[in-house]
Amino acid sequence: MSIERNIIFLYPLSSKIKELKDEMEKDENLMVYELDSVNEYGQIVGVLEHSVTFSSDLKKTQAYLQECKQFTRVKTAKNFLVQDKSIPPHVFSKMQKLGLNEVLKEDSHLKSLIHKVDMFFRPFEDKLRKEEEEKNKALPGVLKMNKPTTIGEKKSQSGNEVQRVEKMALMDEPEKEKKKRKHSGFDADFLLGGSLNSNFELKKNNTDDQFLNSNFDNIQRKKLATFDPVENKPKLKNGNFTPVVEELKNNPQKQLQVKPPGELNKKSASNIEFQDPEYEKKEVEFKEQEEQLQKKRKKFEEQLADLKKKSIDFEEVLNDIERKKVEQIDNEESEKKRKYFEEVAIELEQKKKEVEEVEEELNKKRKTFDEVEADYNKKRKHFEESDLPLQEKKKALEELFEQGKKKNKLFEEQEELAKKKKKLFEETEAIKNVKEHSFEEIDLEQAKKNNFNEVEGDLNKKKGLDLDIDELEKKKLKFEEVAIEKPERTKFNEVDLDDKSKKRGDISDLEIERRKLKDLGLVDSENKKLGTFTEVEIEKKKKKNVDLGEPANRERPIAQRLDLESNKEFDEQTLDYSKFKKDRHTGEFTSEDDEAELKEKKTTEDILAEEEYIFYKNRSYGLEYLVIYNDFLLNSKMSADNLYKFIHFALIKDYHGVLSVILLDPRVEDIKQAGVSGIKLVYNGHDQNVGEYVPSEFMTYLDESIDRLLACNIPTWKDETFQIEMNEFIYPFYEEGKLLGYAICHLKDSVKSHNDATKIELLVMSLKGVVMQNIKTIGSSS
Amino acid sequence: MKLNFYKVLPEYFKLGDSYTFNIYLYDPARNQRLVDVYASTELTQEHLDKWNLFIEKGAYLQVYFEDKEAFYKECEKEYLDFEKANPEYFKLLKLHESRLEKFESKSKETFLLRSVLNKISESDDHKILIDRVKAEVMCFPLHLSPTVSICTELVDKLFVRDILPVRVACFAYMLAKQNKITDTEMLASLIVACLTQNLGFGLIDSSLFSEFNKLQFNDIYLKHPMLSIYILSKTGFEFDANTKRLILEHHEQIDGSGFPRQKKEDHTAYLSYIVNMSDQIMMYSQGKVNGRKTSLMKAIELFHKQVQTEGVNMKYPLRLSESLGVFLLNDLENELKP
Repeated sequence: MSIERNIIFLYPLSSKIKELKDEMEKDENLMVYELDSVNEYGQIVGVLEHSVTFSSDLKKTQAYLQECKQFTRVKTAKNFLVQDKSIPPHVFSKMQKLGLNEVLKEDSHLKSLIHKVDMFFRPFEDKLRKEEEEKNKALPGVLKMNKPTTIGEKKSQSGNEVQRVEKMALMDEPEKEKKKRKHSGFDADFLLGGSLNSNFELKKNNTDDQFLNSNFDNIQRKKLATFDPVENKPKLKNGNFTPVVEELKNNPQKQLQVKPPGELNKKSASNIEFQDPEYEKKEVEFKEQEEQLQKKRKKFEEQLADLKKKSIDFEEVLNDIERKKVEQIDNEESEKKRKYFEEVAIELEQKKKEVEEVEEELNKKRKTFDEVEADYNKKRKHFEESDLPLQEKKKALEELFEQGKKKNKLFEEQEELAKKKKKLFEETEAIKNVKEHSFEEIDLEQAKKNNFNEVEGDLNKKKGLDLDIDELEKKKLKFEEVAIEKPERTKFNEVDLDDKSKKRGDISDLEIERRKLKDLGLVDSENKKLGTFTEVEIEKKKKKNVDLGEPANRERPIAQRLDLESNKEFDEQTLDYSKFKKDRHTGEFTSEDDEAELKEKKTTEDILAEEEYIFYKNRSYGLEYLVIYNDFLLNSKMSADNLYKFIHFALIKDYHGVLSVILLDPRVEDIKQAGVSGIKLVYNGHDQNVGEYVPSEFMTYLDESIDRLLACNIPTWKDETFQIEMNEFIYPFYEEGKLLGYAICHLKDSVKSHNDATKIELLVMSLKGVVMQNIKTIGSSS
Repeated sequence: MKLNFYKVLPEYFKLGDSYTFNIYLYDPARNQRLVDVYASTELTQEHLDKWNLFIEKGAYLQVYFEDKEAFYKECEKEYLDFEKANPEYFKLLKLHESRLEKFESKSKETFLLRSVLNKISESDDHKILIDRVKAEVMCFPLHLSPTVSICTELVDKLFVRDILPVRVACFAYMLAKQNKITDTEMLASLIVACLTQNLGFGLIDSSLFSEFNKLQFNDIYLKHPMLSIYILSKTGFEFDANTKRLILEHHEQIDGSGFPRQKKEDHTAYLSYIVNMSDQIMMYSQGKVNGRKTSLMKAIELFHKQVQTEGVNMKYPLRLSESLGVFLLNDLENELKP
């Protein structure tokens, strides 16, 4: 059980690919295609189930991948580019998107390439084999269906398959047929090879053969792909080349040693029978059927056209009917309207006539009026001229008439006032009955009382005009009673109507505090505006205006009295609780208790969590000297001696120390034997103060302690506990494992810790470059 | 630099007394604090014994700063006693305060960088720039990080000299600020890196420095960033990773043509490019590269326009080289002056 292993080589081929191709051609299991044009590649790769493509030209690779990305990006195709250079990653990523799997180097081993190809095909084969096995397992042993194999088609078969074939050979032919009919699963071998009992054998390659024989373009190929003469077997085309594998393996082109460039591999294409008689027949049949279909289509189109025409006629007919209907309706309506219009016209004419008549009468009357007026003027003139005393009499009469009018007016006013009084009295009675009064109602009452006062004032003026004073006094008294009762109710005076039910009867501690503060004048005037209290103020002003000019002994209006008596207590007491609630929610409003609680919380929890400050030692670790030394190094004028001096200076400054540097003469082979003669003192800092750091001159000291010195292979402190007064530090310089020399430092009672020691080591260590320079000069001088 | 807790000594408290404040016990090893004696609790011998035990192990007693007044009153102590118990803190506090007093006003003075650079170009005297950078750096808070602390100390000791590493550090500082890098710790790292980037030179044969052009192709020179790190490691102090990175990358280029690791683009820290560019500009203007001195402004212009010059690698991030353009303009403030 195996799949078709297709290897495509795209020209131009590099030497490695050529080698690979030759190697591949030897393998009989592989189908090798050599292609030149991208078009051909597109045609081939579209029909191959599994394929591996090798190319060596980057541009061509990109071209074929771009053109055939629908076939190259699939898992069943693998594309290798073999070239000398590695391609940039962004280019590779681009090509990878198009389907390129790997870029192989030209120097990669041939075997590895073959292995790659093998590894690509193997999983598909395994999968196919597994499927086959599962199918066989699903069927009971005896009922296992014979695999319809073509003779000589399959060379290699698995052990199971061999057994199965043997079993099938034992079975009777009719049984095979029965089981064949029962087998409904898709069988790859069945399709690949075809069966003796099936009619698929000859049909299956027709399309593909045809496809290989002609230079189809992509569109044609698609058509082929969709055209499936054998239903329910869509994979049929995949087995297109198998019948001719045997012949292809002979490779007739190889024998002829002729290879037409840029064509399909003739190994696969040349031996296929392109002229299939059945296909031709079918093609003819198909054409005939197509012609018949076209004819039918034409007929159908004609019929459609007729139908359309008919439908148009029908619509026209319908339109006519509708028009007629509309016309009928229009006629009936117009007749009615006409009649109505005629009637209206007649009426209009009649009215016009009437109007004309009236106008004529008016004209006549106007004429008479003019005449009358003219007569009057004449008479007036005559009267004026004739008698003046008459005018005086007339004036006297007019005065008398006006006095009478005034009297009448006063009576009328008295009557009106009496009515008003009655009304007011009724209203006050009604007010008495109401137990709880709103602020507005009280205002109304006050206003009414004010009105009453006004009325009373008016009445007092008009006492001489038969007014019942007793009744008025009674009403006045009643109003006073109402006024006395009012202060009890005025508790609700400043209370907002909406919050009346909420605030009735209970005033919080905060409110009381606020009142007290208000009394003390500590509450801002802005707070007054918190509630609806401003309305009360406006009302008060109004009332004050009304009361202006009132007699002092008269009883004050209720609100005014309240202002005097309890204004301090109740003024600006309206509290907007909703605002307090809001503040509390947002955290703006906090009581002292809350703050205390918060503070307490901070002390218990947060304080412990507060970070401890870490004090970073403000040290430079002697780096400042190294930085300056570094600058000196880049200064070409700076000599080696100066550099030694600088480090010496640093030691003196910070540690009261001295420095001397000795180098081992590279010309002397055995320093131990040579002793001091094998040593060169390149810098002597000790002899600046002879006897202070070392008992004698430095060279004498060296001579005495040369053995000890040469035994120091690592930086060594005389006293590593830094207890002694005069400490010695010896630092050996090495380069590539070779001892170059020593730096010898003596430090007088200054190094007390490892930090100091580290700093000194660092300073001395930085002299290595200069030591190397000196060694070089000593070597060159020799 | 506010201290939340004052270190106090056990002898400040009397046996049998009770105080209105809590006495805390802090363990620096674990960075843990607990209330050891609560307010209004009588101090017993048990407390004192326990304190001695803990103090031997490195812990110490503390009083919260809000209870300072109560502590003074109830323990009959004064400010000096706090100083005695917290010598490091008060030493640093005094140092910082004295630095602020000395440099704060100067650090806030109007500084026309472009005018200063022009002056430097004319006179080759970087003192104005160095003084300015010093004034700003000396105001860095000392408790921020060890690098900041070291940086201030190095600046204090070195920024009195007009030497190449100091010039590089000053220029890098200004360039970083121009690139909107204002984080104190970053700037401190930058300055430390600029100063110590070439410490490795001390371990290279000093005769090689006579010809700098040749040195650049020497294998040992290519290793100097690592050598610098090695020297820093010998100080016994663990420098922060950022500083070490800047030193290690200060010769890397954006196209990977730098050394020692041929890092590319974003693999190198932006500050490393700043160190590199500042170093190159200063080296070039000092004539260390080709032996010819060039004015600072001319060198900046060359780097801004990325003119290829012998011995100088001009592969920097575009943003960085563009930011140099600002240095080339005249100060608007200066021009507007009557």
